[in-house]
Amino acid sequence: MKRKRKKYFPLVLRGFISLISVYVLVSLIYPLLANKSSFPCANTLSCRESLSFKVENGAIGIFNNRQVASPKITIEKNKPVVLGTETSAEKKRIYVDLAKQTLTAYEGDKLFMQTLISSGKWFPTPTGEFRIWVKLRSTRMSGGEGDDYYDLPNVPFVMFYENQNLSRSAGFSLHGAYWHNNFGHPMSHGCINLRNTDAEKLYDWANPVTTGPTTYADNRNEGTTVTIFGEAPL
Amino acid sequence: MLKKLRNEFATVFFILATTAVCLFLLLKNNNKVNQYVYSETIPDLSLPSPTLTPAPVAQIETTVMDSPDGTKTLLMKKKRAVGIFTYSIFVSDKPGGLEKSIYKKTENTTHKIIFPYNAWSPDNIHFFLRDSTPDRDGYYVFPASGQPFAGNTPFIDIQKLFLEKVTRYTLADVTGWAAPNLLIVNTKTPEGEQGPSFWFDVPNQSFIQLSTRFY
Repeated sequence: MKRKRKKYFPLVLRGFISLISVYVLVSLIYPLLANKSSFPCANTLSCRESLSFKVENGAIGIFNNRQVASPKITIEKNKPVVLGTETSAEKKRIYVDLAKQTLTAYEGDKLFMQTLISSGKWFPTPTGEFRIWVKLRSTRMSGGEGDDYYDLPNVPFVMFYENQNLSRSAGFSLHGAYWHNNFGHPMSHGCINLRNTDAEKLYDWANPVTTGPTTYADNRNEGTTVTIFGEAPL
Repeated sequence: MLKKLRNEFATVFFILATTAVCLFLLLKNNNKVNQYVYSETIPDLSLPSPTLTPAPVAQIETTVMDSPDGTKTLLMKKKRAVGIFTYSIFVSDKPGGLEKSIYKKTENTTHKIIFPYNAWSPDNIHFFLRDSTPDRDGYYVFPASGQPFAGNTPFIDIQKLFLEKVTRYTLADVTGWAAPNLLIVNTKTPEGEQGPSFWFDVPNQSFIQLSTRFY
């Protein structure tokens, strides 16, 4: 009996050690392989910071090696509802055509808006079907290096989106851009840039229904679907 | 012998198990990437162009272009007469500010002056417009204040300045503003191929050649 136990004990132990080794190796190798198909952070220097509401009125931004005055952000407590932006039962969808550099928004079959955008120039905009998970009235975004460095306070009307392949922490969003006016042409580091007036209109219309400077989507207040397709002219 | 076989079996199992788990996880991930389905068709809608309001009585067409922040607006009144158009350009604050006259020009009907979509500089200090004829596109920058540039010129003719300062390329297109003072200028080579992009620095009236091309 003792002999039998002695004989089987190393086998069980060896099997256990093998399983542990497989687990350790998988957890080391898989992230290295999987990283090839995932997206790095859109704003490389403010990855986490950009995901929080921030107002820095009077702060100066930097873009294309030039100083840019940021817009003043005021938080309206009871913002008047703009006609056409009230919530309805109709399904809302946003489409971004990278080839044409356009954004179209529908409520059911009804066109809500269509406008020019700027997608990624220095980093490609990921394509796919996404959902808005948080809306921020404003935040700070920074990243790049050398001539490509940017640091932009008070980025207005930010709508971060996600899906199974694009994590929240990657920080891709639709937002207003006050530092350039070259819409219809790629100009961003991966996000979708809109004119401030267009970003405001879209922000007020898109779900989750805005409840404050930061609005998270949840089961009762789901985010609007954003479909990004095509190939940007690069 | 049995011990040796057992050891080899354990090693093979170990390698196979690691590979299988990695492959399974990768395949699962790739499936997710390919699962987007665009079932809904998107109608090919043309972009909203600047508001065009024909005024039949006075034979005046009015074109409007708002600044990206919505605080200012450009207004162009185009008056028709026999064989000529008279263009009058105004700037006003929104909403309902007074119209300040910036420029007036009379051209024959082969000219077509328009406000490009990206006419306003991001800081609303300058704007540019395009004057097209069948032969060429001319681009002109104006100060939105109505105050002339240094040298008492009401505008800068970008095409003319480019011909004077850059000899290797010809100007193809001015698309918009890269920053408050920088206009993006795309060029062509003498052979008609794509040339590099330039920035036109408005205050310094200089062209800066870029290593990356803007589209």
